[in-house]
Amino acid sequence: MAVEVRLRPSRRTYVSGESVDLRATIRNSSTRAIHVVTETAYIWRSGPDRITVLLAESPPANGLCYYGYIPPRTQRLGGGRTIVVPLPIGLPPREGAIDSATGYVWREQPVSGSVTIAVTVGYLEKAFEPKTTAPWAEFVEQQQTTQPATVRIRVAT
Amino acid sequence: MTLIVVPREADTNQYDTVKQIEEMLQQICGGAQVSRVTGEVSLVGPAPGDHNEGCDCLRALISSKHNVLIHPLPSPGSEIPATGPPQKKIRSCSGGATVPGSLTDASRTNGGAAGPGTETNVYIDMSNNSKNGYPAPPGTTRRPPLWLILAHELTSGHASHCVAGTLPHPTGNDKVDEAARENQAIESENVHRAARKMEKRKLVRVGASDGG
Repeated sequence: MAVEVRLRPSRRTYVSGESVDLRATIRNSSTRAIHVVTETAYIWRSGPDRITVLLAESPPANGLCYYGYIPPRTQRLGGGRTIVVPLPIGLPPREGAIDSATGYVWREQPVSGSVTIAVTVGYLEKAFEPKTTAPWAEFVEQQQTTQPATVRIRVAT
Repeated sequence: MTLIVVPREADTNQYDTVKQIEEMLQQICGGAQVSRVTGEVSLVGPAPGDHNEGCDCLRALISSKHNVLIHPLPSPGSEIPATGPPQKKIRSCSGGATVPGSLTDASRTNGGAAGPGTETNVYIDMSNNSKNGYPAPPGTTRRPPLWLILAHELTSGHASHCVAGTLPHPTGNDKVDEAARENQAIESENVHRAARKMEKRKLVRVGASDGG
């Protein structure tokens, strides 16, 4: 199954505090329809000059227990068709953390200079229907992912 | 050690947040109270007529040798610490999640004996999916109230097994481990559902062929 991803930010230079208005153009270059993940985007700093975006589901965290699994929204994409998914990325990326003094906090993950944004897109051959009480792992099992598409921006501090 | 509610420092309405958690806990056990100063949960009663299905479990959590910390989160997009990278969002978990400090300590040994147990963090989306509620779980037709989501995480559900070291022994197969942990908590949740004549959640075991 061939799925191609191209990235286009509206400009190439940003300052911390701005949002990168990235758009991902996803093309299904096969002849069969697929279901593309269009909603859940995990965004995190994977290095001082790299931001990773996963428009896909990632495997359940080791030991994470939860009430129920909500799979990411997907969109049917026919063979040869293209969709554009907006992927706004706040700068700097932030992560949820536990601070022993103040409890739950959002912690900034600064990036600067020439920063690479890498986007991976997930898709399924059939619409997802869970069959067990392990729907998260089921989704990941059925999901295929593209090679990461990259774009470079400049972030001034 | 004890059960503690830890509101965010950035929460401008901590008093109301703690009160909301207290009201949820009182659905689990009528005598639950949360200190507005320390966030510690205590039990008085329950009085006759109060809900009491979860009293023994709350009592066990309060007297456990490990802390259980309840973290109220502000929105469905809130990330759950120590679940990444990438860190998972509370929305993907239908509003409630539990993370043991050490999965090994939280789990039974290979031989089936209880592990030593571990401090445990419980997360709950106080916005209830931005006031939209979370979807009805398989086998049911009504959206779960937030207290039931918290009950699933706490009482005889995930957190109580984490502190007691009685989560199922990990097999290394994501699907099998995930189903085993969830079935454990769903069985407990169904006790609360039965007491209120609510539809029970379905248990669907992962087949032996998935055992890896």
